[in-house]
Amino acid sequence: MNAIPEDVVDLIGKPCFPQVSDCQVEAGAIRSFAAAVEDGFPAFWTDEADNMLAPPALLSAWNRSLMWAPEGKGEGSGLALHFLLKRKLGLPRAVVAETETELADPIRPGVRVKCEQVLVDVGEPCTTRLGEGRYWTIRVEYRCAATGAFFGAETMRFFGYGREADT
Amino acid sequence: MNGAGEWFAPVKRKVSARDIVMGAAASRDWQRQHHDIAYARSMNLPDIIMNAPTQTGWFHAYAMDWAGPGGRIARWRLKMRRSICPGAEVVLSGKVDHVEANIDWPDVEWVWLGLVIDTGGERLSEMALLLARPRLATGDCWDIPTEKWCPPPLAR
Repeated sequence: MNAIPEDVVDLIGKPCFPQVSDCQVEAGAIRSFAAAVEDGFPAFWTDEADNMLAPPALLSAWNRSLMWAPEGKGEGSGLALHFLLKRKLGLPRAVVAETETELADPIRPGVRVKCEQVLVDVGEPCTTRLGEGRYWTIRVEYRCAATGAFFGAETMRFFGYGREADT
Repeated sequence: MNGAGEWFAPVKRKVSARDIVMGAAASRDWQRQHHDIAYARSMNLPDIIMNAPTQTGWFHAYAMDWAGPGGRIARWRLKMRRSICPGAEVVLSGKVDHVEANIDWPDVEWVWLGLVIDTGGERLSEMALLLARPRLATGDCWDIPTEKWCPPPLAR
């Protein structure tokens, strides 16, 4: 697993997998997350829709598809590029090592979020306590599906491991 | 107002499986390492692990409890050094690393925070966080219009 496959190299720097969230941002989802992390920030709990904000930690969540839908089984993850890389690199297991996020316009109930994914880099083979593998970095930009307003971007560094022969 | 070097009061928590599963579900994350212990162990993980949005939510709640309702998060970097699993007794702590005037919106200052989750002297997770905070208790950083919202870099 030394050389990076050409079709993976070709992905670097090219926006791909455009996607629009399968539902609108809504108060119930905001409150469920705020409850899960015990966050009492008033804008997550208000009954005034105009003053409600989505937790910044949910920036990427709106574009994770449902696990099931009437028209077909979903994947449960919005990061199609990440799963494509796992397949192409033969590294079926992966964990997130680091994320960096920037925020712009706030996300409020009623909007749909669209995103695009970009492969930033793929590292050389290396070994961690999880096993042999590689790091790779993906940047995802999130915008309002209706207006294009920039909500923010997330840059994630993954470690993929567990060669297919071992699984 | 407090300045650089201020330490936050530590908060202790015992991580439960429910914390991990509830956070993953509420962030629509059904990757099996967040709810299926047998699958997690097949990944060489010790147990189900807390996902990134849940860790981020814990850090944000801790920071915004300090910043107040007028505070507004601008950027963060999350480094997950060790898995956070059920049963872990963790401590959240943090401090103000740097404070700087906001030249685009003078009623607001930029604040850089360094936050960590530790257990038994071991670092599990850390976050560098940049937020805007109003200079006055009645101020609100959510009033800053898009064209004036220009957060500086995380690195200082």
